[in-house]
Amino acid sequence: MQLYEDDICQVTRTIWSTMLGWEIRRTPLDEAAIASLKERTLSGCVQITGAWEGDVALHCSDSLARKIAALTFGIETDEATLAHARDALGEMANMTGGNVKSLLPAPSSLSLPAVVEGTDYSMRIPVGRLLAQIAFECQGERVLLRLVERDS
Amino acid sequence: MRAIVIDDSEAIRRILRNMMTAIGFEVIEAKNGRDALDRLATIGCVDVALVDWNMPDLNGYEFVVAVRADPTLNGMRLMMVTSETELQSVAAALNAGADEYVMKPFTKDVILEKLALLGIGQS
Repeated sequence: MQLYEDDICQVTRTIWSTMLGWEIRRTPLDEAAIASLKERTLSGCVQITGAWEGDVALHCSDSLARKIAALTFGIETDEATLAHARDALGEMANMTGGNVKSLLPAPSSLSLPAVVEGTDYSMRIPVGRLLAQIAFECQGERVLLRLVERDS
Repeated sequence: MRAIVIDDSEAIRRILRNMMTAIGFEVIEAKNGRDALDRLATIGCVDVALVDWNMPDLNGYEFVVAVRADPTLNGMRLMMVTSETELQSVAAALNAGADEYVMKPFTKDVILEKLALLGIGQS
């Protein structure tokens, strides 16, 4: 899976630098990365169906999602609402899913993004296995990317 | 010059609107293909449509097919701006009548370059 993870990291860096102008850096998947998800978190998820089936999810803090929203909507961070944050993170998940899909067997289709938010929750994909879980740091905050493959 | 930006993400619509207005376009926004067809029925043909692929109700591919089947929208340039990155999707969109294809993430330079290839956007 090392090849997948390196490619996914490259895709992620490209998306974040191109759309936001921000550097996103891979960090160890340590307890701090996991613990950061126990705070108020937004998760953007897209499903891939077809020759490869699974899900790509981006998890980050509410505050980072609002920073992303502020930048993309051209507003101040304290003006960014939850609706702005959902929209912006959903689009980041959509771009991530679309570009990760290009690394996977074709043909396949991408779902519309779904975004959920809350505190100390878990997302479980039935009949799926965690293929990659990569932690990043951006703007001083943690981002977690998960790739889950559904069992055929 | 007039452009319609069609994307279910308000954030992407805002980014593209800012890029297009900066180079002199009047921009109309639509949140999916159905919404875009409704707006075009009211305002008439525009110079270029920037079209996402994955949208609810009527997706970008279906929008392209509908536009190319409508003689009142003859001559409208269609640029896909989408996360749909498979070559088969690119080919399908171009075969259906799209003029250009931009994969997300995109830069302003890429959008300007594609507009120039379409012969529009130089204010």
